[in-house]
Amino acid sequence: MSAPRRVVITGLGVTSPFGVGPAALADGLSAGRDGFAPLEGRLGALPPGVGAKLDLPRKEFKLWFDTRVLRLSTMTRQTQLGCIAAGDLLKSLDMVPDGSKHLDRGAFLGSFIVPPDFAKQVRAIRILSHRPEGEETGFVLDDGRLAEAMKFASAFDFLRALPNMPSSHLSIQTGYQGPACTYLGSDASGMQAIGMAVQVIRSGQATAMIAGAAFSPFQEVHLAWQHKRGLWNTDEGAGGDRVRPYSTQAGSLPGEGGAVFYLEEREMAEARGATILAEITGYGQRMIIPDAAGQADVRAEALRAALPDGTPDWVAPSGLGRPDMDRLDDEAHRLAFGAQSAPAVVAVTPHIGFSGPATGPLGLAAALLTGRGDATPARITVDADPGCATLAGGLARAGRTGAGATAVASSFTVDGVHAAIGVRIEA
Amino acid sequence: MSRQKVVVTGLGVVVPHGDDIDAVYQRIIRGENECGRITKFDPEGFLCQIGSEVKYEVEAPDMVGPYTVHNDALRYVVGAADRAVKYANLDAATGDEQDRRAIVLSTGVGPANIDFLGPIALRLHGEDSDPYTSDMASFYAQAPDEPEAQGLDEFHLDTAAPACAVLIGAAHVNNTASACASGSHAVADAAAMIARGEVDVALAGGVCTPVTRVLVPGFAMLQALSTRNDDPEHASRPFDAGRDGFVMGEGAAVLILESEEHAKARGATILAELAGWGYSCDAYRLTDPQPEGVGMALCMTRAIESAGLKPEDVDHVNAHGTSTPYNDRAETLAIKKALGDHAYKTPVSSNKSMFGHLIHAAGALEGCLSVKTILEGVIPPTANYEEADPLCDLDYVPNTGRPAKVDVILKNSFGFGGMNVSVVYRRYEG
Repeated sequence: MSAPRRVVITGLGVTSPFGVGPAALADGLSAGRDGFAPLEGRLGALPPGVGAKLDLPRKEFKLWFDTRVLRLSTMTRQTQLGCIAAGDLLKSLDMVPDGSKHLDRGAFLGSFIVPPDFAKQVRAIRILSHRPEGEETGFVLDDGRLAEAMKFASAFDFLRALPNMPSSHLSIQTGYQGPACTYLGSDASGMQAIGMAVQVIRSGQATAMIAGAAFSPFQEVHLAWQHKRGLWNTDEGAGGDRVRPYSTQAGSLPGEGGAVFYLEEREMAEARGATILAEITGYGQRMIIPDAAGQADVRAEALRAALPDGTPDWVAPSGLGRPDMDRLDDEAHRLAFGAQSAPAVVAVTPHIGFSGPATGPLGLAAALLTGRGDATPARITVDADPGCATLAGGLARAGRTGAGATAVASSFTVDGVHAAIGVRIEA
Repeated sequence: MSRQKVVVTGLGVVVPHGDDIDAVYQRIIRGENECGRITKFDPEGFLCQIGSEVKYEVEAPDMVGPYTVHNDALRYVVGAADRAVKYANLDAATGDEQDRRAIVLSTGVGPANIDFLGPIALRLHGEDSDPYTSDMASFYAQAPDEPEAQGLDEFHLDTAAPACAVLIGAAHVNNTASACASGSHAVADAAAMIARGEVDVALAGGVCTPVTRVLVPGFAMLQALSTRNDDPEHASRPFDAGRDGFVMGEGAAVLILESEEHAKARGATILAELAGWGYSCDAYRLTDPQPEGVGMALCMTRAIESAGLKPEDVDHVNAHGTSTPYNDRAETLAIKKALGDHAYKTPVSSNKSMFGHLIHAAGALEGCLSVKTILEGVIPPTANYEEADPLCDLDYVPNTGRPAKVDVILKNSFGFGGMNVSVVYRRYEG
């Protein structure tokens, strides 16, 4: 049995509240800044009232992709963030799309379905729903008014809401005719997209893949849903230190962004003289029913699969800030890499918030930049939750950098789907 | 890298034609149609008023592990999965064996949000309130325990894959989204995981409940749906000159896939081999297929090569065949590109002519029917085929099922955004 192909990372594209590009993320992390600001309008009236957004005028989009080919009216915010990250990546690799098609390259993105235009839905619902005559409870939908309600929608509302659109746009943007898919269903789907892309290259179905995730949580229903799941810190304050995972302080804040990686078969990357940033050491993915026994063991298995040999110098854990999840995260890292292991922690959530499926890839990007020495994230000292001593301590520690350094990034999700990617830094 | 042989050992469906795959196949080869005027809401005044609905009571567990089966989409997919598991005579794995099992589902979007947001709108504001000052999201945030807030979970359908994972004891789950190709994408991803040796067993398929107040008019706006409202049974007419769009269908379908070694070891009945799969993207436009069928042909060729076969080995093409003018023309060109002259000798049929387009579940349902075609030896017809389109000039098995020995089937699935997946099903030769 021949060995599977080795997969390397040769490029990185990022959109974050700090701006476009890996350097902006590196600078923000190194300076210990955060991107939080009060949310305005309807969003601001909802908990947590604060979030980290990327301020990007529409006219700037054409710096990263051809807005005549990729129409903004057909894109959700998360699709835009993903395509900007990909445009940034392709620019950095001197691979700016020129209309050429590429048969052996593909695009996988992780994302999350978000109802695209809440205000329009509300208007439609108001027209349709009313109480049954003479009743004080219940409701009926008056189908006779459907046509009137639907006047508030356009074809673009439906097109951009199709769940596969992020990777479709990316394939059109790049001319990639290999495998294309959007992976959904959990906050781990960004890491799953990267993992599936690695497997596609390993098995020879593509020689290169753009993979990662992009997400924007700034939509009323989604913010409310995540609040229902206990994710947000609703304390007063502008942001700043409101996100401190693994500490005695609970809760996170929403943030938007995306991170995409250029993954290549090692032989091909070497043949074209590419700069290899890191090699993928493994991909682990496990699911366990919430509240079932063995929660930490299953998470540990995912971590071990990401780095089968040795212990990581850096870890980028999910940093949810929900105490029960943080404690499982901590226990899983100890189970996976030994109680004595003391990895340094890169956590993006204190700086740019929780961006659902994009959090894992953004963490992997931060760990990659840190492991290579391109970023030196400010160390954070927290009042550690006693159940999170390993990861809380890791926030204050620095790890080895340079060739040979290893990192594991993971998404440990509330819904029980967990995924981890490991990398070994190259010179 | 050596590859595990992948076989099919179970099939399960909850679709407009029924919930017993053997009976559904019999109805399909007789050309029976389930497209009709929409009954789940009154579509009067809509551009498209046609759908293919599940009109019977679906038997499915109310709970699977900790997951409540609380809406149609979950009932359909859990029901289909339950039937497939029984078909395969597969027990739920426990302990370390769970790490060798996977769920790959295409779940798309859940029930139309208007249906679940409606009660909240009314509760908070009543019908006379100002439609521009809603604060429903605040309600969700501040009263998360209210029953209506369950609607938030319904929209995402996140529990579908975990619930199916409980049924077979699986530790790996993935959700694919490649539009109308998603069902086949899930099947292909699952097969690839088995072939690479990552898992031994996978439950793969999809579910879709798009016959709703939101999605029917939405797809009609995209000019994708048939508007033959006065003759709904004949609205879905793939490859026919008079075709004008597809019919939305609802339901779920899943397959149980296993490595040959695992299936043999447990004494399972092997129904067919899943011999190959191919993916491609048109990288062309969001709504239209590449008109020459380049991307479609690419994925068919990749699937055939992946199976270690030649184009002339293909006995039958189970087409994507949506009944839209663009798709059917491009698919015809693509089949000719992929199969060459052999295309003209190969029967091509579209099952969608009888149950419409189940979107995220379509590829899996048509995959189940492909397996049955190999086993039973009757190629399903393309119903409603009355007038030949000069640009669609293949043998579409018009209107009547055709007895034939079929060893190799190429199953096509193509989606909005130019996403393409083809899967090769082959007679299992032990």
